[in-house]
Amino acid sequence: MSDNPLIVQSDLTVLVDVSAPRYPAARDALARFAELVKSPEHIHTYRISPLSIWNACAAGVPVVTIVDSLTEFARFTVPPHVLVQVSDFASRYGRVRIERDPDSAHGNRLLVFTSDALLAEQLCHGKQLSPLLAERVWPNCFRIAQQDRGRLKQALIKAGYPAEDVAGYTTGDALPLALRSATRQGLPFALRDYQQEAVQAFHASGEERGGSGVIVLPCGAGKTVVAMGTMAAVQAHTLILTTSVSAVRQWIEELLDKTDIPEDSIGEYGTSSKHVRPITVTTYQMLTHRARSDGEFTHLALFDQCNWGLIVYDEVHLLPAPVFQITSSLQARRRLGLTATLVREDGREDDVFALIGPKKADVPWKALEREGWIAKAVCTEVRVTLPENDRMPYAVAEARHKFRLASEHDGKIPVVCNIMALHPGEPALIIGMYVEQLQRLALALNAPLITGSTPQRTRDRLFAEFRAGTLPALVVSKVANFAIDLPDASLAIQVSGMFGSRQEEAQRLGRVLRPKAGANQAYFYSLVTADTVEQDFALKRQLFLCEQGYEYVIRNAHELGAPAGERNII
Amino acid sequence: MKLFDVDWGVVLRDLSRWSMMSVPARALMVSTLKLTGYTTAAQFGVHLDEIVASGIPTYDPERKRLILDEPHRDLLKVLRAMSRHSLFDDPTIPALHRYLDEHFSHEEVKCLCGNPSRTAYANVTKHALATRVTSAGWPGDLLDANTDARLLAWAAARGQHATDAGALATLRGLQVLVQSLVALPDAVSLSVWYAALPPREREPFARIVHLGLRTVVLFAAMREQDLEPLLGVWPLAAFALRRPPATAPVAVTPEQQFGAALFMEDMAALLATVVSAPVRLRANDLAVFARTRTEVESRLVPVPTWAEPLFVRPDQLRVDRAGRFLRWYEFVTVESRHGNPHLVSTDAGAAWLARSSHDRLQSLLDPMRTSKSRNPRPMYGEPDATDFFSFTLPYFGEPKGLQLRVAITTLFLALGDDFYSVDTFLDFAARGSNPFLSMSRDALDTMQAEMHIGHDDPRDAFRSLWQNAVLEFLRARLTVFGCATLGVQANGEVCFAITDIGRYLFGATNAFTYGEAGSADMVVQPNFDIVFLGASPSLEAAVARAAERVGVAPGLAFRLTRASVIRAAESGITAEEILSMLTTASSKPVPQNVQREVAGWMASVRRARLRAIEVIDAGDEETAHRVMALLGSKATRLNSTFIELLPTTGSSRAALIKKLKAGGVLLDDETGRVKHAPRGRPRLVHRWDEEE
Repeated sequence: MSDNPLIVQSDLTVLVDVSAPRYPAARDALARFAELVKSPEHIHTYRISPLSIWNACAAGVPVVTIVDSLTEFARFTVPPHVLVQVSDFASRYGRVRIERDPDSAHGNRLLVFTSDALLAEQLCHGKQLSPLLAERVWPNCFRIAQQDRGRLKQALIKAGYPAEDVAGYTTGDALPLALRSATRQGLPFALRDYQQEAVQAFHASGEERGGSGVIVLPCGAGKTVVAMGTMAAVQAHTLILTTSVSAVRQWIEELLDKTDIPEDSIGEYGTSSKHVRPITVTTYQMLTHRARSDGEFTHLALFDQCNWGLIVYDEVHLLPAPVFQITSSLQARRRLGLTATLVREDGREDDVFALIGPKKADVPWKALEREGWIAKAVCTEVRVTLPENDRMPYAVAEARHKFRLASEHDGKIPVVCNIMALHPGEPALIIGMYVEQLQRLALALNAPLITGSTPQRTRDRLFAEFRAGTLPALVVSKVANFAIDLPDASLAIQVSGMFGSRQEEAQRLGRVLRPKAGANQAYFYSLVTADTVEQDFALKRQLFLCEQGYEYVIRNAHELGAPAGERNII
Repeated sequence: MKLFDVDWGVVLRDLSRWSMMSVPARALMVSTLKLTGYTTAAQFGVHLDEIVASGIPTYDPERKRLILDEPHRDLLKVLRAMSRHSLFDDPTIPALHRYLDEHFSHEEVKCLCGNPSRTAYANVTKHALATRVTSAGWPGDLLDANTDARLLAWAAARGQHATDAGALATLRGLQVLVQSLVALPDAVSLSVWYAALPPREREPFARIVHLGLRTVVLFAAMREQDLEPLLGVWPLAAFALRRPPATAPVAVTPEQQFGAALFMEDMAALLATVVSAPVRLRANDLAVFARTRTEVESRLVPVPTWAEPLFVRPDQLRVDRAGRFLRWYEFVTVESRHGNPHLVSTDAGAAWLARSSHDRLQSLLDPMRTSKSRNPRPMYGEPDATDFFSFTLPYFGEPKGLQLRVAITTLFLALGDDFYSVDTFLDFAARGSNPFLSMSRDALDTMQAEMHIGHDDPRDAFRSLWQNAVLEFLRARLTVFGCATLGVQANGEVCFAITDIGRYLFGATNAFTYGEAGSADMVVQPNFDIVFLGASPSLEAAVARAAERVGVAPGLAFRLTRASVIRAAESGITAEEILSMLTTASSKPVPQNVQREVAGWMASVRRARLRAIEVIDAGDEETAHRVMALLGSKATRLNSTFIELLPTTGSSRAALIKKLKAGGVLLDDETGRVKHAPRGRPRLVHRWDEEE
C-alpha cells in the first residue's frame, strides 16, 4: 500500500485514506486549504474550492505550499488541471484591498486598491461593480462609501476577486465583561488551549486584520465558550444570532453561568419578549419574520437599535438569505461566525466569506478526541419489532401519524431495560419526544421524568442527585436539546427521534460527548422500529453520524436479549 | 484589354506622369477620361489643372475639353486594367479567376495549364490554372531552372517560345526579377522600381514585365488605397518561397501536460457499463441514448480544451466511437431484448475488461504494431481499426517504392523524449522530411494525376498531403493511445512528446508502462460509499451490479442505496452474493451497519406476478355454485360471485361454454367479441399478454 493518503479527483474533491502512514501530516497540510466534507471511518472527503483556497491565503498559506502539499501526499498523479485551478484561485486573492480613507472626515469613505490598473479597468466595467466603483482616485484606486463596503465585497467575490478588508471597525458601546473562574455551580472554568487560540486568531489583539471571520469547531468543542472569550476580548455591546428559541435560552444560560455579566444586561429578543440589552440574543427566524411574503422584515431594525461592537452568528452555515443582506451593511462592526462546518446546503459559502469573514480557526474533532476534550462515542441503532397489536393500526394509519405510532409503542420499553442492564453503573439519559411514552418508561425504569413543565427546583434537585451518582438514570423530554444544566452522562438512549433533524441529532450526541474519567467512552443508542417510517428517517441519521466519523452499529433488539418473537428479517 | 497587348516600354516611361498626380486626380482620370474623343474639362473639377499638368491629356484649342494623345493611350489602358483587379489587396482565387477571364482566352489558359490536348470545361481549366499559379511551385519552377535549356523549356511549356538570344536574356531577366520580388514582403511600386533602374536597363525591364505578365508569373495591379500601380509575385507563393528551409524542431517546455490512453479508457468505461447491465440502443442508428451517453461521458477522462483538437472527435462522439470499436473487436454484440436492440457484453469483452489497464492497452496496440501494412490502405477500402495507419490515401493501389510506414516511424522516432511544437513539427514534416518530395517530378506528377489531389503544384499538393497524414496519425494513433503526451506552452502553442507507449507501437521497444502499479484496492465506507483506491474496471463492473455509480475510479466510484440493492435483486443477485463480493474486494471489513442494511433492503424485497386471467362474473352466489359444479377442475372460485377460468385453448373453451349452456348457464363471452371499427371493418379486441 502506498504511504500517501490523498486521492485528488478531477472535480477538486480529495479523498483521504486515514490508514495510510502519512495521514496525519497530510491531514494537517490539507486542512489548511480544503474543507472537510465528511469523515466516515476509512476515507475522509475534503473539497478544494475557491473559498477554501482564499481562506488559506487569508491565513498566509502560499500557493506553492498548497501545490507542493497536494503533489507530495497524493497517491496518484494529481490531475494537472487541478493544480492549475488551485494556482488560479490563489492568484486572485489579495489583488483587491479595502482600506480606510485617511482623508475621510468621519470614516465614512473607504479606498479600494487593485494590484494593477488593468484589473481596475476590468472591475469597473463589471455590471455589479461599476455602480460601486464610480469614483476613481488613481488608475488602480477607487473611493467608495462605507455603506457599500459589504455589497462591494459580495460583488468582488462573485467576480472572482475576494477583497482583503483591512479598513477596520467601529468600536461599539463599551461593555465590561470578564469570564468567571468558576461556574455558578462552583465548577472551575477556563478556556481550553484551542479555545484560547481560536479567540486570539479571531481578535488578533484588536488589530484591523482581525475582527471578522468564522471559527470552525465540531459539536461539543465549546463554540459558545469561544464566543464568550471573544466578547471578553472585545468588551463591547454584542448581538448574538442563533437558530432556535432553545438555543437562545441556552446562550443566556451559558452567559450567566460563565461570565460576570449581570442578568439585566442580557436580553432575549423573541416573540414573547423583545428586550434589547447590551447583550441581546435572538433567532434568525425572528429577524426574518414578516407578516406577508412580500412585506418588510419587521425586526431587522434590531441591527441598528444599538451600537453593537460585536455580532455573533451562531451556526453560520444556516444563515438565511435576508440576514446576509442586512449584514452587508454592517461591515464596520466586528463579526464572529461559529459553525461545525463551512459547507452550506445553498452554496452561499462565498457570502459567508465576503460578509462574515474568512475562516480563522479550525480544530478537527479527532484532535479533540485524541486530547481528551471530547469522549469517544459508539452509536448503536437497535431495531425493534413493532408489536403485533400495533401492526394493523400502523398499516391503516395516515402517513402523518405513522411516525408517532412507530416511535411510541411499548415494545421499546423492555429494550431500554436490556440496554441499561448492559451498562451497569453508567449514568444514563433516556431521551424521547412523546411525554406519554416517557411517563411509561419512567414508571418501568423507576426513574424520574423531567419535562418542560418540571419545576426548576425539582430539576435542580434531580440533576444534583444524578451528578452525585445516587440517581442512575433520568428520563428527559426534548428539554435535553437545550438544557444547559443537563448533567453529564455516558449513556444516552433515544427512544424517539425528531424526524431525522441532523443538527439536533448532533446536539443530542454532544450531550454525551463531554469528557469522562477512565476510558472516556460514551454510548449513544437509538431505538428504531424496523420496517417503518422511523427506520427511513433513521437512515438519514445514520448517514450523518457516519459522515461525522462516529462508529455506527445496527443490532436487532433480540441480539441485546429482547423478548422472543422477534421476526428475523435476514 | 489585355495587359500585355501594349508597349510596356511606353507605359513605363509615362508612368512618372501618373506618379505626379494626387490620388483624387488619379481616380478621376481613370474613371472619366476617354481613350478616344473629347472629355469635357469641367468633369475634372478642381483637379483639372493637375491632370493637365501631368501631360497625359491635353486641352483642345478652346480649352474646354481634354483629349488623350495617341502615345499616352496605352498608359491609360494599362492603368484602367490594373484598377479593375486589385489582386494584391484581394489575393484570392475568385479575384484571380476574374483577372484570367479578362486577360487570357480559353486556349491560352489551356496552354498555360500544359495539356492543350485535353478538352475540358473552361471553368475547370481556369480553376486548375488559378490553383497552379497561386502555388509556390509556379514561380518556383522558374527559379529552379538553372540552365538555359530548362529556362527555355519552362517558357515553352507556357506557350512562349524563345527564338533568339534576346528572348533568352529576357527569360533570365525575368528569373532575376522574380527572385528579387519573392524576397520582398510586398509588391513593389512599378514607377519607383522603374525609376530606380539605370536607363539602359529600362527597355529590357519592359520586356521582362511583359513576359512575366504573359506567363502569369508576375501580376500588375493597382493598390486601392492610393491607386499606385504595383508589380509582384502572387503573395502566398512568394511567402512560401521566402520561408527559410525547414529545420528540425527544437525542444520546448510545456506549462501543462495531458496524456492518457483515451481510446482504451473510453472503451473500458462503456464496457463496464455494458457488463453491469445491457445498454439499450436507438433502433434507427444503434447509438446509445442520450441519458446513457451522458452518464458514461461523466466518467470519461476529461480532455483539456487546448488539447481537444488533437483527439480525434469532440466529446459527444467519444461514447459512440467507443461503442463502434467495442463492436469491431467483438467485445460487445447487439442483441434484441424486449423487442429493442441492446448492447450486450461478450465473454471476450468481459475477459478484456478483467485485465489490467496495461494489458488492455497492449491488446489494442499489438495488432497495429504487428500489422504488415507498409502504406495506408486505398481510400475506397474499409479502414481497419487494427491497422498501423488510421487513414487511407486517395490512390487505387500503392505506388511503387512508397514506404510511408518507414517514413512516419523514422520521423517520430527521431524525436527524443522532449516536447516539440506541433506546428513546427508538422511544417518540418511537410517540407523537410517528406517522403513524397524525394520522388522525381514526373513520378509526382503522375501520382498527383492518379490521386486527383488538386491542380496545384504537385510539390505543394504532397506537402499538404503529408502534413495532413502526419497530423492524422498523431491524432488517431498516437495521442488517443497514450503514445504521445500533449502539452501547452506559455504562449498557448500545443506541443507533444513521444512516450514509451509510442516507441512500443513503432517497434523501438518491447515494453511500456501504463496504469498505476499495484492491485486495485476498494473500501466500503460506513456511509455506504464505495471508494476505489485504484482502477479496476472488472471490479467496477461487478460492483455496478449492486451499487449506483457516482464517480470515477480511483476515488469515490459507487454508493450502495436501497434502490441499487433492489435493482440487484431484480437481476437475481442475493444479499449474500453482494456482501460476499464486497467482503472479498474490500481491503477493510465491510462495516456492520452496511451489512445489516444491505441484508435488510434485500429482505424487504417481495416478488409478485402480473398475469391476465379470464373471470366469470356469475352475478350471484347460487349461479357461481352451479358454474363451479359444471366446470369442476377447470375453474377456481375467487370469491362468492367471481370464478377464474383456468387457461384453456379455443376448442376446449368452446366445449366449456357448451357445457355451461347445457347446464342452463348462458355465458356472455365478452373477451373475444368482434367489434366494428369505423367503415365497418371488423377487428378483434386483444387480450393482455401474459407475463411471468
